[in-house]
Amino acid sequence: MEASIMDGRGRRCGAVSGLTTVKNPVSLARLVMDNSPHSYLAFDGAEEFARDQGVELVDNSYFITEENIGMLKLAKEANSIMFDYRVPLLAADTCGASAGPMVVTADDALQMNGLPISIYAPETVGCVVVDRNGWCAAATSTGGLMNKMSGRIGDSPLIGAGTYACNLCAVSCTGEGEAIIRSTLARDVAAVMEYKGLGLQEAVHFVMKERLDEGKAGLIAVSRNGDVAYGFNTNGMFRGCATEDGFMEVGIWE
Amino acid sequence: MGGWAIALHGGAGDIPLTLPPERRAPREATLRRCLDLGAAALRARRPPLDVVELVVRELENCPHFNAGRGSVLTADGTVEMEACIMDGNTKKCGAVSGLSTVVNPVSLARLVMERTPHIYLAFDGAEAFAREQGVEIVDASHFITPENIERLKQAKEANRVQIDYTQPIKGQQHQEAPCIKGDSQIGTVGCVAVDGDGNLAAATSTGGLVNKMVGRIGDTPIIGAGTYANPFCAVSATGKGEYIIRATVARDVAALMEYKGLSLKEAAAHVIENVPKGNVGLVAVSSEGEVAMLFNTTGMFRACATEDGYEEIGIWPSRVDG
Repeated sequence: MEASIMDGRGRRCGAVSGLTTVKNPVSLARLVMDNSPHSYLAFDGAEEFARDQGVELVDNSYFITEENIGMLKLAKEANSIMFDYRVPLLAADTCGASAGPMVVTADDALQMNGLPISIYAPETVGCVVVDRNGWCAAATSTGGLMNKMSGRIGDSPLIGAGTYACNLCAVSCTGEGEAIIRSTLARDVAAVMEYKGLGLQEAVHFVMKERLDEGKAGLIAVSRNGDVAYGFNTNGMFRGCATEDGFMEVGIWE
Repeated sequence: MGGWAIALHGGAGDIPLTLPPERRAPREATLRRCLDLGAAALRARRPPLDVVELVVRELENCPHFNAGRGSVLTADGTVEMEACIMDGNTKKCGAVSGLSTVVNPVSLARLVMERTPHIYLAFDGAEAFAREQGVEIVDASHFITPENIERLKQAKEANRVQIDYTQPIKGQQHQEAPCIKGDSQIGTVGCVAVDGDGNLAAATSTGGLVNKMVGRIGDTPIIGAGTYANPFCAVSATGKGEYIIRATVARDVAALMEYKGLSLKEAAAHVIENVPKGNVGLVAVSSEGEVAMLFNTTGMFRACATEDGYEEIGIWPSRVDG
C-alpha cells in the first residue's frame, strides 16, 4: 500500500510506500510529514517508523479480501496487470456501458513494453479540500495494481504526480500510474493555473486533454476560491463533492 | 536547433571555499573525465539517453561522489541508493530506490523503463529485478568507503550534540566537521544532454543523505522533482531533497518554459530563486542547446560543454578554469 498527503500551506508533504501492516497508510504519510525530517519513507523503513510512532498495525491478512485473491488468480492466468476488480475479467467484450476492466491479451495493441495491461478505472482513493480561508490540502491512498511487480511504486505517493497542493489548488489523481507520473498530472493542474493563468476547471480540462498521453486517468481538484472540478478519460470515476453553499453530488459515469 | 550540449553535476551544497586540494583535485578530475566522455559520445552521435546513462555510470563508479560506490550511509550504516532516467521526446522514464548491491543504479532505472510495464521499482522488488536482469551485483560492502563510515559517525555525534547541547564537542571533530560536512553530505550526481536534433535526456543518481532514516526516499528518483525531461528541456536537480520534492524543481523549469514561455535560463533562475536559499542546485539543457547550471548553495560540482566549443568546469560561483 502507498499514500501521500500535502498541505497547500507551505507545501509540506509526506508519503509512504510498500506498507503491509499499517491500517491507515495516509495517516502514516502525515506522520512522515509532521514527525520525521524526511518527506517519503518506504518499505521496511516505513514499517519501522510506523511501529516507532505507534500507529495501528494489523496482520497483513486484514487487507486481503477473498474477492482480491480470486482476481489475482485471474490476472495471473491472463498474464495481465490490472486495476479493477468489480467486473469479471473475462467479460472483455464490447459492453461499452460497463465500468469494468478490459483485459488486454498479448496480441492486442495496448501493451507496455511487451506486457499486456488493462487500463480501466482503478479504485485508488483520494480527497481534496479547501477551507473558508482558501487553504487547500490533498491526500491519495492506494493498493496499486493487481498483479503488480513486487516493489512497484505508482503515482499515488509521488508529489506532483498523484497528489499535489499549493496555495492555488489541491489535486488528487487516479488511474494508470505510469501515465500520471510521466505527465506530472497533479502538479500540472496547479502549474497551468500558476503559469498560464487558467481557472481550475480550464486547468483540469487542459491537463486531461493535453498532458495525458495514451494513458487513462481521472482527477479531482479544488481551488482556493472554493471551486470544485473533476475530469477523467476513463468511462467512469467514483466520486463525490460538496461545497459550503449546499451543492452536493455523487457520481460514477459522466 | 543549436547543436549538442551536455551538463553534469556532482552535487550542490555547503562546499567550503577552503576545500583542501586533495579533496578538490580528484573531483575536478572526475568532472573533466566525465565531461570529455559525454562530449565525445555526443560527437559520435550517440543518443542523449545513452549519453546521460554513460556519464552517470562513470560518476557512480567514482568513490568521491555520493552515488554508487561512495554513497553515504543510512542511520543503520547501510547504503540505499536511488536513481532515475528520463527521455525527453517520449517522456518514458525509469526509477529505482533502496538498492544496496547494484553497481550502477542508473542502468537499472533504464531497464525498469525499457523492460517492465512500470516506471519505478524499489527495495527488495528492485533488487530481485536486478538479479533477474543480470546486471552487475556486488556485496553491499563494496559501496561503503572508510570516509563514509567516519561521516556517519560524525553525523550521529552532531545529532547527539544538537539534542544535548551541554555535551562539549571534542576539539578534533569541531575542526574537521565543516570540511567533512561541506564536501560529503552532498554529492548526488546527474547529467543532462541534448543532441543536434534537439533530442533530450536526463539522469540522476544518489546515495541520499548521511544518517538518513532507513527507507527514506529523496527527490532523485521522483519524476518532476530531481529528474525531468520533455521536448523543451532536460533537468537534473541536487540538494536538500525535501525542498526539491515540494517545489517539483525539475518539472517547474520545464513548466515555466512550456506554460509561461520563459527561456531555459530564465526558467531555471525563477525556480532557484523560489526555493529557500542554501538548498538547491540544478543543471539543465534546452532543445536549442542552451545550458543552465544554477544553485543557491555555496557551491555545486559541475561541468558543461556545447558543440560550439564552450566548456566550463566549476565548484563555486566563479569559474575554476576553461
